[in-house]
Amino acid sequence: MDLLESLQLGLATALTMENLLYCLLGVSVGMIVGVLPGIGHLAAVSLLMPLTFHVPATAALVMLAGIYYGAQYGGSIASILLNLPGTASSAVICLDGYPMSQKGRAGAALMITTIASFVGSCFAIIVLILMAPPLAQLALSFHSADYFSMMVLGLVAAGSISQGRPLIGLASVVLGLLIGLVGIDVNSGAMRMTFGIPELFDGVSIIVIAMALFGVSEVISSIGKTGDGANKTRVTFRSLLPTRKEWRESGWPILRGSGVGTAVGILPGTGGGSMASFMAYAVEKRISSKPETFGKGAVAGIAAPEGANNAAAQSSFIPTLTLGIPGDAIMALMLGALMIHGIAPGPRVVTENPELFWGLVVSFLIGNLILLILNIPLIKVWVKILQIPYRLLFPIIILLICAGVYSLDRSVMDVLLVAGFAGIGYLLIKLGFEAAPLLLGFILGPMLEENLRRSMLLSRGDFMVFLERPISAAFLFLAALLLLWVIWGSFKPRRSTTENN
Amino acid sequence: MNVLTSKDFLAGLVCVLIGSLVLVVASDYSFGTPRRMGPGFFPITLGTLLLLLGAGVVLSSLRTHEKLPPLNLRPWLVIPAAIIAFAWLLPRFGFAPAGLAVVVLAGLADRNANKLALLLLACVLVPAIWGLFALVLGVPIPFLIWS
Amino acid sequence: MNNKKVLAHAIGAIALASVPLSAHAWPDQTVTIVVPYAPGGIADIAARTVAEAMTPIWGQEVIVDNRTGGAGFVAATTVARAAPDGHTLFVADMGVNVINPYLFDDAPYDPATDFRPITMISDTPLVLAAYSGAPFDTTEDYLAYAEANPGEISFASAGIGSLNHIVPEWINYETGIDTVHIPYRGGAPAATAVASGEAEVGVLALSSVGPFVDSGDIKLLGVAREERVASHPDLPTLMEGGVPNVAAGQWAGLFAPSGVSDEIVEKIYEDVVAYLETEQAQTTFADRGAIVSPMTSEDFGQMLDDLREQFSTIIEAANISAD
Repeated sequence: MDLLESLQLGLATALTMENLLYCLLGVSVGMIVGVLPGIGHLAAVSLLMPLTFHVPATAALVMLAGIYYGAQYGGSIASILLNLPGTASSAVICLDGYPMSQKGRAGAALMITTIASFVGSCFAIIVLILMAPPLAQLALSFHSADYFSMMVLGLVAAGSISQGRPLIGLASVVLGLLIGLVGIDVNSGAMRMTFGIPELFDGVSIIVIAMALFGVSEVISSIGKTGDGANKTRVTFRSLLPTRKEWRESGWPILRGSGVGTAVGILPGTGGGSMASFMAYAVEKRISSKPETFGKGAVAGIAAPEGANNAAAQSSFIPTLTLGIPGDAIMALMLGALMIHGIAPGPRVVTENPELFWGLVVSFLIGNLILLILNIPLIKVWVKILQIPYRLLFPIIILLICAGVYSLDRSVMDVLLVAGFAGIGYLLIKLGFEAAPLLLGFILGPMLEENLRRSMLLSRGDFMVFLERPISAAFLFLAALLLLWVIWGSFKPRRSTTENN
Repeated sequence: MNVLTSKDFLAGLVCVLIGSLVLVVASDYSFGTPRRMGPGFFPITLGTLLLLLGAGVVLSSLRTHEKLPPLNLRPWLVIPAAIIAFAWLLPRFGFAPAGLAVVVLAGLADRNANKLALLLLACVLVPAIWGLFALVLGVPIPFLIWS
Repeated sequence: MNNKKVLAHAIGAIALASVPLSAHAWPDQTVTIVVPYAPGGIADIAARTVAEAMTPIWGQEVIVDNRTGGAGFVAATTVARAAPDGHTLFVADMGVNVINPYLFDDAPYDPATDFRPITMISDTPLVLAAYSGAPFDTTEDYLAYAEANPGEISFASAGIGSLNHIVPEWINYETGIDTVHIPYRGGAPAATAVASGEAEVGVLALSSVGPFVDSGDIKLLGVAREERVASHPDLPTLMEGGVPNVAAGQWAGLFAPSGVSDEIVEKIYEDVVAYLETEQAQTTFADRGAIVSPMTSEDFGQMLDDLREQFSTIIEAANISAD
């Protein structure tokens, strides 16, 4: 079957009334949960899973996928307006999106992220259509050592995103890795740092960490500081339109971000969009001619990661659909949905269920179009949220966080952990530690350790395995370069840093 | 300038302290060999790394003189307390009292809180958010637990 | 202070006004089936299939909760601590319900006393699978190669204590070869590791290696059963290939926390088994390489006792340890 025929089949499948409806439902739910801090897309997908048992496989996947990439659109909205990442992958959007909205450019930031999301998704979908089979083959050639080195690079990059204090940035990564250790060790079954608390056996939930560090800590430091009305953005149609300068500054970063995101998303086990958006941010900051503007409202600092996390959300379907290897927890749930309908994920899906594969791919395009159309008029609504006085807004945020965290596992302990981590996190942030690299360390920590130990078992204790494999060596080489550059930078005389939040 | 008010010095110190703490806790876990790493290998490596990074930060702090910004003390105490109140009330009395408590208590973190406005806000929001989670998303959270 | 008092009164008033809950027949709330592995494994599929079928019958949402990690400890302790009211059920396999306590000195639960067996759901044959580029094509060749190259071959498993871990160790014990265990997080990643050649072999569920056999990345050497499987009549058993005694099935069974009442267990048993005996259930499982195998609670309990005896002996004799 050639490409054109495949796309025709996909179009015919995706355009049935039923699939269109589920697509619309999925992306709308996705966008809403993305906007609401505290309800991750993971929670939404798991909660809606049972519903999909009663609809055909294609419709079920179309809807679940819609929630997933719809949430990527919504996630950045809360990041920009409230400095609260609606999803983990949009955490990095806070760094420049929130300063932009403090400068009164919230509307423009939302417009840019919407367009970046659309471009990033389309870019990745085209790659998915053209290259799914050969890329799947490439992903299969990744071994544990390669995963390990790739994650090392990602973590070093995340640490050096840090604003002028790379040593503390790296320390934040290590802190995150340490929190990731809590729970039962997968390799030996030993309990680590659980202090005998049964709720900690399973480790600390990512939502808990993200909500404590990005949500509650931010509320604590903003109370009393954000005068009412300080955030009042006038929402005229003009203020939604990015200036010519902002357009110019976002064009290339969107495309570069899309490229980085697509590439990272293809690799299984990279945790969906989080790593992609961090990488894209780091790349953008490195090649920018004005790196000092990053963290203070640089347009490229939202355009690139937003393009990247959406691209990654789409391209992570490549290993999921062609190999049956889930890139993250959401993908794992989608595989579950496939199997419940009696479809074995793996290389056979494309050939044996072409209407499912191609229908899903075409539905991605339709879903993104719906999101684009839905999102632009809604920007005004989202910006209006800012006009609620902060002293009334923050109790709502705290309530949403409490309800969201509790709903995750119905665990009171999780809610208490949010309180604890928020208290400690606030102090750490005051000391200059950064939440975003910490979070990435936390996400990648368990995978990093698992792959390290597995590589060493496979190499029978020879550390050279990381240098002997070309893919791994290349990643480590890049990480070492970055590290040297960072260490050299931190010991050379400092520019006067401005410290006012 | 006093090192105890230097932001970097304190940050470095925190790293050194946490790093040492991790080393102490992790010394209970078996370290293993490079081939068969025990559960202690990774934490001990990380603890050491954090200790070294902390030392580096302390050293570099001798050349920077950035003062620790003042803490937002009242919210720092009140907000976690409100969340703890939510966690305590929810399993005992249900979402309505827990939600009411968290909105009103958290609201008090702002010195200029308007208590009546907070109460009204809670009365509208708590049922709405409960509806979203319990009815729309289907999470079984009791609105009220009668005992 | 005053405000807090007002608040307390208000809370009290609302509480008094609300209607007391009355006792309903089981199930009167969402039923959660806890699964110790990531979605995609056979235990997960078994749980999901049952959950889907039971939702309309029980008139309550039946959901699957994948609690991975720690050799199944996380899931098992969750279930062991859950209220024994039939609203928390457990789909477990050999690893969690038979092997763990013999392998880990500090397992935080005891499968023999913490769970009450309801029925077996499905059984999946385990196969000795090898990377297509590996220098052996049959079980005999594999044994010869491993004998000539002790400590060289790595085998992938779905995690410590899983059947995919114990059976290769058992083969090592019976034949005297030396291979190295590499744990993965679930059966699907383990199958992928064999397909990519990262680990040379694995004793994995037929269902999880199936796609890679079709794509030519994995070849099958033998099946760990007493007789050959109907779907692969040309595939010899491990015993035929020169491995004495080794036979085990990757079954998935349904459990409840012990202390659950007899009426509830009976109701669950009847409804689930009635579904498993339908043609639809048989096809669903057959498509995934598994065989539906309902069993009465008594037979299932007896089987578990026998397996515990058998495997505690094997683990001790072969000196298998967690690390």
